[in-house]
Amino acid sequence: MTLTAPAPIAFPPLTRTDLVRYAGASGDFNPLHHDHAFARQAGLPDVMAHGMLSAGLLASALTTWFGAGSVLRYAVRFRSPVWPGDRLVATCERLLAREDGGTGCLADLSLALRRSDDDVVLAGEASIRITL
Amino acid sequence: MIAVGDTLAQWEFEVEAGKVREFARAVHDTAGGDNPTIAPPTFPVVASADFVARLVSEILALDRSRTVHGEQEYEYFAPIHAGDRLQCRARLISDEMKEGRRGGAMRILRTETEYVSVASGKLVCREVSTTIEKAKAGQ
Repeated sequence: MTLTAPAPIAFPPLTRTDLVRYAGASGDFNPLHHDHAFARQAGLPDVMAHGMLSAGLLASALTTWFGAGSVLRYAVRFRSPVWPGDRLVATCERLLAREDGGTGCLADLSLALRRSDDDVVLAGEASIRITL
Repeated sequence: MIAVGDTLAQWEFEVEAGKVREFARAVHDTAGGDNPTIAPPTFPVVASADFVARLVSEILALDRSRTVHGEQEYEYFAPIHAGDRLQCRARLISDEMKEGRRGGAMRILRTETEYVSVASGKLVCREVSTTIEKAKAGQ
């Protein structure tokens, strides 16, 4: 059974403060993500967002759509670096329901974090439990 | 020399409520409200931060300048709650060479981290992370 896919979620434009906040929250202090001079020396145009920050944002779309604790599996592939100023949108492409036999149902979905319609920075798959 | 199947690190981690709140805010996760008790899906990165910081250069002895994080996968068997204690163990589960798209061989390594609840003894989350060391320029 194909369910109606939830509406896209747009995040506020990514700021350097977002990167610093994620560094502190996650404990990932690789200077590529907060030290502009260090990033430039490594050949990058600017500080780069943590890949797992993008993965965290896309996961937050999942919990917004389906609830905290609803996720059974979550897998992502990093496709493109993300920079301060990027406007990211989480989209759900496909939502396929499976029988659970209990009070809810299980569903598999494809999802993506996009900088624009044709620019996927993070491609994801997930399995979730939907409580009816 | 590290081989497939080896345990790379073992440690214990306490899921502090304040850390869950701070992390939820950093990833814009509002599903748990202002004081979330269930950790966001990617919260295990907090438990693994010290291990991951050592992984590329120190443990796997890769060239950091051409190493990227390729994929990340989580399977959840029970929610992780604030107040939980987790026993964590990371292993190397595969190490392969593959022809890169731009020529030269790239090395693809996968590490698996298991998070076990100290209270219940049950596996709550299994994580697989794929690290790619790209070919040297001009190879």
